[in-house]
Amino acid sequence: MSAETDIDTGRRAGWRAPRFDWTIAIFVVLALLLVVLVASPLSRLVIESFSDPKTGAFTLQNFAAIFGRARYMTAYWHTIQLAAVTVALALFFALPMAFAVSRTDTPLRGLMYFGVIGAFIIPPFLGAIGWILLAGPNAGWLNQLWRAVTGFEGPLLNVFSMWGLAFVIAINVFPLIFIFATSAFDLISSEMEEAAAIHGAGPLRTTWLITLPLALPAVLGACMLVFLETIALYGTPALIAIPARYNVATTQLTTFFEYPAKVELAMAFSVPMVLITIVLLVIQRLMLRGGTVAVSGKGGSRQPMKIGGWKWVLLGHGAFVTLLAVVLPAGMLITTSFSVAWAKPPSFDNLTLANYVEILFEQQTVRDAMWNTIKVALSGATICTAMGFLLAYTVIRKLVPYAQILTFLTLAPVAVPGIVLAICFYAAYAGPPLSLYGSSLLIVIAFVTRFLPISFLSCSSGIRSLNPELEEAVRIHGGSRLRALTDVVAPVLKKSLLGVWILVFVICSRELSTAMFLSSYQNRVISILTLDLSEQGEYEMLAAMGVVLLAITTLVVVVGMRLLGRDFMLRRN
Amino acid sequence: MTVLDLKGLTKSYGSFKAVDNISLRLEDGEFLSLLGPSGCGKTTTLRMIAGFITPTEGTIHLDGEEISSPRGVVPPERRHMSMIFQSYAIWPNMTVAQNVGFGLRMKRLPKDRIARQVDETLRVVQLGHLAERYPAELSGGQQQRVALARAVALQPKVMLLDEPLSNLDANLREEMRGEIKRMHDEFGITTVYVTHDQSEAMAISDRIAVISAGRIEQLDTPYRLYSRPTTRFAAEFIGRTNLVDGRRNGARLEFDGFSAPAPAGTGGADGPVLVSIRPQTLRLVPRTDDIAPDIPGARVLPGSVADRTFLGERWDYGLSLATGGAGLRAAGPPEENFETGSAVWIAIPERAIVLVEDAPLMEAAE
Repeated sequence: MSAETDIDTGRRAGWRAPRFDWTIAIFVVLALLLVVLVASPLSRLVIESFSDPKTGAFTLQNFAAIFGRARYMTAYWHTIQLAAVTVALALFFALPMAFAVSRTDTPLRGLMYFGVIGAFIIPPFLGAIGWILLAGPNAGWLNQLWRAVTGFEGPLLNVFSMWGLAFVIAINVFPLIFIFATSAFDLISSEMEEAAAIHGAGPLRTTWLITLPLALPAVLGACMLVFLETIALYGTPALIAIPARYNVATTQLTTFFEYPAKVELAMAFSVPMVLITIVLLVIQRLMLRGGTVAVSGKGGSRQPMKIGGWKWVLLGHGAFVTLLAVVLPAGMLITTSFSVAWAKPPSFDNLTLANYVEILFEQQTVRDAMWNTIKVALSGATICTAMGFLLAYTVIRKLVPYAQILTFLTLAPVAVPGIVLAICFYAAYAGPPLSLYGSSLLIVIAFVTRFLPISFLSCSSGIRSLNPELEEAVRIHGGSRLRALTDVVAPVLKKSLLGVWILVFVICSRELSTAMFLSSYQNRVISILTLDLSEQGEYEMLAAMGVVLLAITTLVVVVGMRLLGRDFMLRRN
Repeated sequence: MTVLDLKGLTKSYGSFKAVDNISLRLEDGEFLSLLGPSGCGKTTTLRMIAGFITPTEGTIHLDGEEISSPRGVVPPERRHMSMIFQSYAIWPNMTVAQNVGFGLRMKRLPKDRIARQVDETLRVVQLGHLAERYPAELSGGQQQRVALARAVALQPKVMLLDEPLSNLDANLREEMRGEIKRMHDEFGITTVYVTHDQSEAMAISDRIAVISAGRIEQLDTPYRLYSRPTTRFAAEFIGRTNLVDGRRNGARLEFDGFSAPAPAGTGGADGPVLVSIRPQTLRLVPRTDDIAPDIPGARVLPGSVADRTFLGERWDYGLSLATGGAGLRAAGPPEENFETGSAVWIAIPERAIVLVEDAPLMEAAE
């Protein structure tokens, strides 16, 4: 309705004093940008998977080739198996912590936050490297320790297995479930639990019958996101699944790019992944919509539940998860970065700064990659935030007709795993006429496409919380809409915009799967370089690089938390 | 037989006393309201009775057994109480029947017995046809009935209500108030009711404890509370009134511009007193000359109408006295219309002058 009024006033003004209607221009520019960023690459998925690579004619042959080979089917099956185990493990890590932090009087809840934020900050591939060094079957530190203490020959843990892989992924993605579960728990008024108590249920039964069922829809939704995250993940499987000879969908995808590249098969292989993603996202949406929120009345104050001796159990669990997710892998990386040879015991002979000297001053490839990563992350975050803000404003204030088309295009990449998106960009822009392969620009636009939904959704909720009367006041006092945007909307929302920027910056600095297939030796980013160094067994140098990356990320996040409050990284959208 | 006994109950948060030495005793089946403005400590008191809060001092006994003291509390789930919360706290993940049967399930009663009791309770609150619905499908009033049914289904020893009507609109509020009263009369459950609405408390309670700043100002039946308030706070909080400062001089009370005999049966030393005169006890008569009309048993004072508001059921007049001093407020019937500024005689019946704070009897005089 407000769209009609807006357009109406616009038209009337135009009729009195003919002026250029710049809202149309904005729409055209935004729409064109989205076509370049989203529509053109994603349409490749459909086009190429149904085309004959030589003639370009319509064919189902690519799909026949995919579904006809047992090896490909096994990869799908492994992926689903892996994702299911990962979800179960992540639930085990996250749910008790979320409950402890949100609902109970467990001591040291700050420590658990530290564990969650730490796990969130550590990029998946670095966590994987840390755990390879800890639990590699031969030289892994935990296994060395186990042999030394017990005298047994065999290893205690073997990270190169399906369980090892699922564990390493789960210990990295569990914050997702934690975030959803805590925000669901936070919404439950404590009167719900008190009502159970006064009607005769003890703390255990209250938790089981009231608290958990109320949080269930949100938790299930988060489980689906973890499932999706796992099937789309490339870095950790590349580091662990390949040595373990456990073929999953994403590692299978890379084999299509071994010479000669078979893009059409890669595309056909991706289609089921995209379909699964869409189906799960729809289910997740429906579940959250049907979610049970407090039915009525005022929220009532929230008091932590007194859980007696159980709090020590929960504290122990939280400390254990923090140890596994943050302390051990980060500690391992730091130790390794100062070692001459990581598998040797720590001694003065083994202590060195050479790794840092090498990556910071000597190795051109590493310096290039770090510099390139910073460039990509800075421009990606800036473009993403600006575009997300403009798109959200245009859509929410209904400045243009058919705004929902913009929304759809902006959000479409959500349904596409990063590695599939990379293939789409490869197909669309790597070759002629643009021949962007090997340039950082290609990586930047792929990152922007991938993370635009995050920026768009956060900006939308910010703008939605803003009363339009603020802008109307600017206009009735003689300011233009642009002035309202620059002088009122943006300044009022500067904190959430900064939050978006930091978040996208951090994600860009570590994104791996979207950079796959788009990197050559000229435009490598750190995440890609990590894989190469790991293949070469250069763990010491790799660890040093990882520590530098972690230090930069932590710094940015700490600055963000100072400016924006502790939870800015941990919001639901 | 249920007897709930609060002795010297106190809850301090640092140096702030949210509840300050409250003692009261509820007899079996009694309906008692804790009435006071927000932040007065009434909800804290209720939550101490429920066992959610441990008192700093004092004890609570239920049937002679200590259930709360600074040393520890019996947890809420073992107090055999029930409660209706401000937000109702109906569990949205359970059907109406499951909500109502929850407490019975916790008692591990046999299934068929639970079903029977739930049916019966739902019939009493006229929700039988909604037993299998989920709370989100119900209206506010129906949810309120579910909360009520859930609280009575247990046949608790004590039922606690925390401002249960504050989220309902005016019509529904009256209906639910009647429903709560009916439930109480039907099952005879000892009940503690917290509210800030004095008319609600008056309509429903056997006794009312007026609470201010954590202390009980007055504990009395609604009628006595209205007609014989004993503190300035109680007089102001229960209904509208004129509080007039004066002096006791022997058997007479003297005010600015008039005096009256002290009410029978009271007798303090000479000194300052405070009286309450309800606005609706005042009568207004048009004043055309200096001859005061003779109204038996009333003091008649010259004055004028300073302001007036028409409230539908009555006129609300602000009066100033010709002799000076603080003004009075009066309520007049709609058909008696005095213009602003018009001269009136104000008749104050002597019986309407209620002594709130008498001059203290001097210890030495006795």
